[in-house]
Amino acid sequence: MPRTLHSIRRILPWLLIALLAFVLLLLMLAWLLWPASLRVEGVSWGRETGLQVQRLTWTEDGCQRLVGEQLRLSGIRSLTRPATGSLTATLETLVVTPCDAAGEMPGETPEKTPDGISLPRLPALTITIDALHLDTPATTDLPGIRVTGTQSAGHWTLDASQGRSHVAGALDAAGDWTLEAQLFLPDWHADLIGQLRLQGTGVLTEDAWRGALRLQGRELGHAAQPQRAAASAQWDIDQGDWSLLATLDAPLALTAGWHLQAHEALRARGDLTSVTALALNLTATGPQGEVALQLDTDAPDAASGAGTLRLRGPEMQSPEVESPETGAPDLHGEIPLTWEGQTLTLAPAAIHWGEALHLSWSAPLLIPLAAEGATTISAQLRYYDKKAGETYDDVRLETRDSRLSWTGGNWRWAGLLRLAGDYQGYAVNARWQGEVDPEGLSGAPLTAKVAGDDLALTITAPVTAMRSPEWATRASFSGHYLPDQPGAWPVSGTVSASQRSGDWRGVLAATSRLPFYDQGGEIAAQLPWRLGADASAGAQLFIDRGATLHISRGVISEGLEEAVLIRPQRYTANRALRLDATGIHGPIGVRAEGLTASRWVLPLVEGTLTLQGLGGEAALSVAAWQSALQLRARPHANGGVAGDIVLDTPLMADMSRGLPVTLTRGQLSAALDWHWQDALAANGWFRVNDLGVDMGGIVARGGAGRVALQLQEGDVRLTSDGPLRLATLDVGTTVRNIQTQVSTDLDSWQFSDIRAEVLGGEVLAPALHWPADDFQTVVITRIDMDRVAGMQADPVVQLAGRVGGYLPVQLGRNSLAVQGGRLANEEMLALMLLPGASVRAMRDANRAVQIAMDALSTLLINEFSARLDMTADGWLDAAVTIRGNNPQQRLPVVFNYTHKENILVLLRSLRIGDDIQRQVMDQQPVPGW
Amino acid sequence: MKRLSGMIAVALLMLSAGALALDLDSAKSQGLVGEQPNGYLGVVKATPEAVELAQDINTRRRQAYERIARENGITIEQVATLAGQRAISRAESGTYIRTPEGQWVER
Repeated sequence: MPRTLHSIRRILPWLLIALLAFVLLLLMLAWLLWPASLRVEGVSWGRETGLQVQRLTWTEDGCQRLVGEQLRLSGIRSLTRPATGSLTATLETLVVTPCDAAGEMPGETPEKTPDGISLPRLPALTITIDALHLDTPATTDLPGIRVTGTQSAGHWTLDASQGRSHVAGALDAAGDWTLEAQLFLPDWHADLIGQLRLQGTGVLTEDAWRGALRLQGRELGHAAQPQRAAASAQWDIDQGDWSLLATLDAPLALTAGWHLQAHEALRARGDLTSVTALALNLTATGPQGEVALQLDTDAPDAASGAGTLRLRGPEMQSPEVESPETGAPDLHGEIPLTWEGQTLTLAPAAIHWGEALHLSWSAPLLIPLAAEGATTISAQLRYYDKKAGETYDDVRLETRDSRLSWTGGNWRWAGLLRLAGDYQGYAVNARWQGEVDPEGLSGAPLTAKVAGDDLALTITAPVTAMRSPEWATRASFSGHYLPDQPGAWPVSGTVSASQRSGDWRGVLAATSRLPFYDQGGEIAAQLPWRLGADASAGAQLFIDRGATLHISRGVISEGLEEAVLIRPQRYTANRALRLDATGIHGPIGVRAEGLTASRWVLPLVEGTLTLQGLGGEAALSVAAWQSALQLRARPHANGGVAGDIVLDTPLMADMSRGLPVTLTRGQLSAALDWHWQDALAANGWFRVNDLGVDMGGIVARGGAGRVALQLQEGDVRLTSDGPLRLATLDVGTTVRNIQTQVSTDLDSWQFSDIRAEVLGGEVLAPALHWPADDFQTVVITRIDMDRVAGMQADPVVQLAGRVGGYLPVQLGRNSLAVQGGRLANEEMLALMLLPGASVRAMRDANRAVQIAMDALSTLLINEFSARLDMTADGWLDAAVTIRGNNPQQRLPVVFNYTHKENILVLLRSLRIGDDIQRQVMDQQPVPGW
Repeated sequence: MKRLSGMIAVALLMLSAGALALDLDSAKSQGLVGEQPNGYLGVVKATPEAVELAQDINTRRRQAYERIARENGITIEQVATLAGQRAISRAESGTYIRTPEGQWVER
């Protein structure tokens, strides 16, 4: 026990000193690391495991430079007892984030290049990192690199590996270093092919540092392309001065179909602050064209030189370079460039995109080659497209002395933009002054004017809300449609836009008036829109479901040859509508409340209009009439627009308010193919069944027939398909079973196979042409004289037997003539005068009439013949001969009678007699009189 | 009974015509509508109200013409033409009438 106490007393001072030293070491370490914002978490200590830290982070100026996990330090005793081994540090993961240089002033001259580097003398150590990650956008997806570094007695080694790639380096105590690397490119990117071998040797001492690196690449290329290339580079450095020689033996395949070709070896020299000499001649060729960069400088001590950047579209490329057709316009131009010190100068040049788009600057553009700088830009972007005839598009976007500045990753443009020119027949002028940076726009509202023959608009768009990430704006516009016309139609509205979830969205709210309305017809549109990206079709513009367009009630003075009141209409997007170069695609609900004219009405029309770009179809119905209409239209292969119409509707009185007849019943069906190209052409048919027509005192029933319709270059042709039939026509006496075939151009009518039953007989004609100068024969047969006598309102005579004959008629446009008409009895006729007041009055008139009427009072007629002629102005000449006998008096009778009268005057007096005139003129309470 | 029904119908028609008369007279005096040879009102100055008024009056006129034509065995058009002659002959000064050539003239 005393021996033990003695031992404790002997080591106690040393223990106290060691404890004090450890505390001081921790305090010193904390004092050193605190400003560097080193933060450790989960610190623990184990006799076997040593010091353990679960997580350590190093943050500087808000940037997390290092994040390490599972740090283990062992062999700490070697710090005081080197013989016990080496200090070992292991890290499971270490993430390194490159941060912007803090505290460096732009343009600050770097310190003088050191002559050499003196590495500190350290105890033996081994550092192992299982997975080293570099946190940059380009390297985020790369797997971790295993790194091992050692140092012992001034001999350093470094070993790093990832996949099949491996890097090994060594620095011995004398300062000689070597580097050997083998890099397999697929380990770093799946699209890359080939391998690189890097070898280097050199010296790194307190007084000097120099070395040489040699890079050799084999089978380099892109996985998707067959080309393979070899490359080599030699880089020598001595005390900061370096030189580079690089060669590429064949075009190197890049991504997206591009190739890089070096026409000569790349030669460069420089120091740690600048490139002092450079010569390169590279061409990158791809589907979009060719970019050639040629630089050459050999300034003795300062970085200066000249070169050319040449752009050529695919159609202007070298013929040996294969390039797929893209359909994109050609990009071509040549930009001479020079640099002096840290300033790159782009000489005045023009870049052309196709034949229409041109970017040019007339004064040199001076661009500082620095992480922070600014340049003044005066440039013009011009769109020029010569159209047919004298029309052209010529729009120029210009900026003068605007300023582009940048600091690190940030940039800012400030200046004035002017847009002026003619586009699609409109004069366009716009102006905006403000600033743009990655966060958004600021400055005055953008103002623009659009002026043309049919439209004049002023547009204002504030930019203050155009900030990342939504870039919202709400532009307002106002102006007139047909501004030069009397009472120009106002157009105004707003359009908002913002970006959300990768799409641009907004609402177009506009008001206007339809130009062909004389009153009313105000349009109110509320159109939510969306510009979305589609994986297959690119950017697509949509009008969202629920978008509405409302047209208020209005009047057209000369609509359909008279004033027409157009009731309100409402169009609603039933689903999202897609817009493209051909037009609108999607279904639109239609609700049109109808038309009203002074004599007719079209009731509510509802349905769906399905648009398909240049074509579309409509399914509309008129519920009040039970009518259905289907209309289709589409672009025609030979030009113009074509389609078809199908109509099915009952016929009813409400439809015929504007007609001289009343449709009482029937069914109308129609189908029509049409084609519009400068003029309308149509081919189809319509069919009527069970038609009933009421003309007041004339009533027709049972109409039926099918008529083919052809419309070509303004000429109409209607041709019946089979006979047109009418069951009855009541004109005072009933005509039955009327039928005919017809063909007409609406000016000339040709009837054929005409037949009608009247008064027990028939009227027949093989053909009638109206109008015509010829006399055309109408045959009359089997007319029942008893029925003729039955037409008498106050019967004075009774007849029996049948009569027939023919009437050569001349059908003038507004006249009827008969020449050489003949009527005769077809069987024995009988006549008997009936006792009555009128007969008695005639009999009592004089003796001669009495004798004649006695002879005719009862008569059997063997022979009846009548000759009829009538001129076009209505004068009828009739000569009648009757031969027979009076059976009561056993008296033979021969009766010759001639008569001349104007039939038109007679008919007028008969049909519209004094009673009717009086009824119409004086007694009937007709509204509005 | 039939005679009584007819009288009631005529009375109702006259009452409705009278109720419209003020509006119609006003429209005629303002030159919005005028009489035509075809027996129907025409719109001289196209306003929604003028078109609606003409439509209403013309619907009633046509019903009357149709009835007269049916009772007398002539066509609606013949009755309407007679009515047009009568309406034009009785048009008041300052109102518009339409010539057979289709021109509106102030009487």
